[in-house]
Amino acid sequence: MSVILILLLASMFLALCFLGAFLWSVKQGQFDDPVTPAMRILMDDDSSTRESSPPEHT
Amino acid sequence: MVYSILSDHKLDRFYELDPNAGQQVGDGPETGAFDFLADSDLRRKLIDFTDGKTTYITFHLPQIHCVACVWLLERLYNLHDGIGPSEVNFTRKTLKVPYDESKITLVELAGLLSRIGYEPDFKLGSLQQNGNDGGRRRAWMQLGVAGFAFGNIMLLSFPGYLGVPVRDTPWLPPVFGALSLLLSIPVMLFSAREYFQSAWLGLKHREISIDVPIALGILALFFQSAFDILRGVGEGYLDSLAGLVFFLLIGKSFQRRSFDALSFDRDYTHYFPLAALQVNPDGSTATRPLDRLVTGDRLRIRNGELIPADAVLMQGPALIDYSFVTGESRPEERLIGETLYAGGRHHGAPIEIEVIKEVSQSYLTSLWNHKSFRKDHERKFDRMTREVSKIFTLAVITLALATGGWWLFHSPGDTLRIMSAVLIVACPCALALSAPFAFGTALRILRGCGLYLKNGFVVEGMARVRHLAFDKTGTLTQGGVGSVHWDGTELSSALQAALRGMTESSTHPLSRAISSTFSVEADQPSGFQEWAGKGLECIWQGQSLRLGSSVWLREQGLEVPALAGSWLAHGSQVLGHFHFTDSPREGVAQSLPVLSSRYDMTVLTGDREEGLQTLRQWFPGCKDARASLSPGDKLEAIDQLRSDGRAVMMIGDGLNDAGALRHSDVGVAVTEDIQTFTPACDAILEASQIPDLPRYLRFSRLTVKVVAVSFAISLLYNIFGVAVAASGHLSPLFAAILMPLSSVSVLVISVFGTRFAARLAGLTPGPRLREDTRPRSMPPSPIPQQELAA
Repeated sequence: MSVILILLLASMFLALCFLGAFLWSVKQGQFDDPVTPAMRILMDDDSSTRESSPPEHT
Repeated sequence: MVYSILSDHKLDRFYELDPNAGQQVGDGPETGAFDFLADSDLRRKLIDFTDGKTTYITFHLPQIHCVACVWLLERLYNLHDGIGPSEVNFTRKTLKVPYDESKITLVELAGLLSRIGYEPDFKLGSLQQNGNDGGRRRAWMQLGVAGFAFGNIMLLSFPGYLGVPVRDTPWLPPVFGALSLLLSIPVMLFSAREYFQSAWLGLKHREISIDVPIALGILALFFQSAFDILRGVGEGYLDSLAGLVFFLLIGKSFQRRSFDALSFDRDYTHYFPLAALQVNPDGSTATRPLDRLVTGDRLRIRNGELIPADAVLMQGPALIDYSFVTGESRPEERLIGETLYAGGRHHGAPIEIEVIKEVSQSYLTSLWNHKSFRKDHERKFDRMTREVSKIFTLAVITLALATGGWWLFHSPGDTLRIMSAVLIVACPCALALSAPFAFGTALRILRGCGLYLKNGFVVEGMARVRHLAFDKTGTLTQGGVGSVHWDGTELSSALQAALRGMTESSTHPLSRAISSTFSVEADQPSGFQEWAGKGLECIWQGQSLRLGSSVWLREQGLEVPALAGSWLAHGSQVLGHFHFTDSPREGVAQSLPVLSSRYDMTVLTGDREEGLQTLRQWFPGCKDARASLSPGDKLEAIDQLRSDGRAVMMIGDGLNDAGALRHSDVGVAVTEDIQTFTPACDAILEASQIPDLPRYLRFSRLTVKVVAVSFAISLLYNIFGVAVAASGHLSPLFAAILMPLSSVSVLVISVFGTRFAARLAGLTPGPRLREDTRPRSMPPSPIPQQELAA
């Protein structure tokens, strides 16, 4: 029945890892602004790539 | 102009990202508008951080309105190699820029931003640093810890509830118990800390808040469980404890207002600029920070700038728009030697003034020296919750003592256990949750409709209101000069063309209003002349055509009655005059009678008496209307209305209403654009939504009823639980089921009841699900139109 102890420790360890990750992300400021990152992800990185390829609609 | 800057730096994709991206850029700020940023003292206060090489500064850019803005502003480094990677916060409309001071100065940086259409907004108030990120991050962490503990303790408690046989492993339950106890310690010390603090603070001030029974319940839960676990007699109620704290924290975060772009505590410093242009005796000019202005300083005020302090006009004439300060709807001419009050906005050629009072002592700002502004004037809206919880707490403590006394005689060994069981079950978790969730939902619904509340409890304040006080200019009426009427002989189309040409050549607001009434093509005037403060003149059909005040025309030897308005004369013949009337906002005339059937109404205006005449024409039901009130008069009028104990709601827009907004039970600031300055208030209302006010008020009353119903339900749960506990049958399993069940059911009733109330009141949240993704229709310009129109 000592396998349950290993399971217990493993699950606790995993949960603590997630909690730690959450606390770290809050401290990093990832929860400060919930709106802007969502917009940023939709934007292409570079405008210079566009120049090499012809515009699609002409 | 903007396009050429952008395409030079290969940023022209800006316009593809969002069709709304382009904004009409005004004339641009006058050159030297940001010279005050060269002042090292000011600069040090404005920047966030510097290491000597790279400096970080956060600009407030109210023009940010779409994805393309974010895209462009985060690529600022393409425009200048002294700028590092910048970061936009969309909700707060701020831009954080690192820049190299040796390559670009702050003045140049601000100038660059304003050239591409984002003019940084510097106000006297931006010198005060505000950081509430700390508190918010802390709240997130507390929630995270509580959730973590709740989930894990629940898992550890399950075997006990399910009665899993432990014959082979008798050591397992104590291990599970010890682990649960370990997990609950951070919940007690970190997550639930605010509840203990606020309960303790309340007790110190002899005030019983809802936090007192909560804190008592949490303490009873913890110590009873710790006692059980350490003695090995049971698994305790720790899952209930962690769950309780977790739910409470969710409720707290739910009612926290979630719009950063709005500020509800603004004072005059958020309206005044940072610096003014000082004229030295030798004629040279220098910028001077506003907080260092002293009596006797001579300042130059350019077109569209604010008068920063009470002053005497030295070089004029001035045309001052006081609409935002006094409620007076028309710009006033001032001549040399007259006193100009702080807060007015000047239009026209630059003027020079001499300061006679410091900024904080001026007529307008002295309102903030009033005693009600000095003390921390915290209004308590949560009266309902507080009153219920006061009775509740007393009842719980009496009950616990009574059951304790009864058991002391019958089975002394069980006394403590049962007393703590009563405290545990009576813990008003559901009670504490119902108001935050109902009001939080109401807050979100109203936000969708264009009414932004400071916090959820304002809904309760709104429901108690019995008396409505309105400001006139800018609130009930459109503001500005109003609608134009012609009174006189009929104007031929040739004359209309000439008039349009003449009035278009002038920047005077009345001229602008008159010119907008003509539909004919403008005729270029010949021999045009503008007599500042008097009128306009040009040559038409060989004779002089004059449009101006009756005083001026009489000076010219014409027979003109002494009436307000703009008189028109051709040669020696007086043709008639234009007069101006306030026109009500769209829909206001229809909704006011609806309101007056239920509420007492008062109109408080700083405008002249004749402004009320027109008001009575379209709002005949108005019995109590007072004109020519100073900001202080308005404040006193509100105090007087409140003196009979009835709750007053003040709806106003200008700085002159600031005192009244503050003194009323609910102060609602009206604004054309939620990004611009609004005085300190409890709620901000979009001007176009004023006709919907009856619905909002009805909704608030319904919401309070929903809260009352969920209070009743949670009390039923408590009575049931206490009955079980007092008889000595409270098992951990029973507590673990009853607590979440009562919390969740009350929560569901609160949220859906409030939604239903919104439907009953006829509220349909508009397209602006998020207040900040709407495109701004107002082009940024050196003179914000909406402030002019206030």
